[in-house]
Amino acid sequence: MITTLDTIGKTINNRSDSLQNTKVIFALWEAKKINTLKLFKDYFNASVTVSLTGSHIQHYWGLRTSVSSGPDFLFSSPEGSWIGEAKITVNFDKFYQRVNSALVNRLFSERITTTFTANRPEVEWLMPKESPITALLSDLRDLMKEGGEDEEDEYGALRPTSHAFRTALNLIIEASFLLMDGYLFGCASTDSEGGIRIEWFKTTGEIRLVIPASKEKEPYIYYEFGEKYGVDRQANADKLARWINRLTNI
Amino acid sequence: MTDTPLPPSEAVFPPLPCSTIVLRALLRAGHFDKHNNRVTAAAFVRRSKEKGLDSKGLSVDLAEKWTLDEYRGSFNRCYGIATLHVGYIRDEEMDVIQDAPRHGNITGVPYSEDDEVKAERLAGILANMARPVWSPPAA
Repeated sequence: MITTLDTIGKTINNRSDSLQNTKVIFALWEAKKINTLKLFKDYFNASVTVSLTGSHIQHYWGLRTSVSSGPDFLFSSPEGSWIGEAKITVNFDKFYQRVNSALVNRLFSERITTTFTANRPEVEWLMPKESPITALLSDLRDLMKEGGEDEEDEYGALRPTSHAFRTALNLIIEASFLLMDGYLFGCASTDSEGGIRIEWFKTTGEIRLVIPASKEKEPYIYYEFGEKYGVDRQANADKLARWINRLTNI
Repeated sequence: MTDTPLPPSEAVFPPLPCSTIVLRALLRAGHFDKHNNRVTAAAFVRRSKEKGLDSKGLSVDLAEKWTLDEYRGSFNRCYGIATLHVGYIRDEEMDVIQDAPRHGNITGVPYSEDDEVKAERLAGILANMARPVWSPPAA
């Protein structure tokens, strides 16, 4: 099934009377660099393909920031460098709250594909906004820019390895689907080997996601709530979301 | 005994008084959490054991021997400077051992490869006691 992007909302609306107020806004940032983007594949069990001129994009990550603001989608090149950002606002309250997941699964079981070109006048260009998730992803992007042409300084590696960067992005974005109240503001850093550390801090506790530079070592989550602390090894999105949810609600 | 003076790196210095203030350079942007205005634990994680980095501990410098301008200028990239109180470090079963006229090392923090739980725990304790005294002006 091929449809145009600006009909997605209408298409979805037509499928259900219970999903009202459907609104889809799509925008691209640095869109000239993007050729092909694929969205919705996992989360909505559907896909959106956006064709633009430029280099090919083979990897994508989708994320939802909050019920009110809708999801943001961020894109990366196969090498892991930051390419662009798109924003889609979809107000599916019932979907987000997972009240009626069976209905949603049925509604979204059909794949949706859309195409459009970079210079469509109705495309709204966005500036990144400062929510915890976009701030964190911006920080991750900045890590990749650190040092310019230099690879390292007296402390160590200036930029994360591709493995660490991609692992971090995947964990952050996959976990975002599972968070009840979204992310807290986090702080990302490159370690001396090119691994990534992300720390979330509250006075009542803290979480650290530690992603080694290479896949030879597994990522882990350090947690600390008062006198209770420890390491949750083999970090994955489920574990990360669980710890962030706990930190958020403590 | 020897008549030849030891080089500074091998000289033995007396224990630092508990009142000593030491400086820790924040060498990555993520070593300072701008959202919470605090130093992160990342600033106190020992670097690669395999490469023999931080073999003596976490590098610090004696605050009374440096000006902040001189100190930050001694690094290629410096994203902030934090101070720590030697007495408080000792309260947490760590220590600061001076190994040069202006330099010392925080000891007692294991490498993550050896004990990641303790390494993280102590890194957090040090981060909590670190007071940021300089950060670059916002761009």
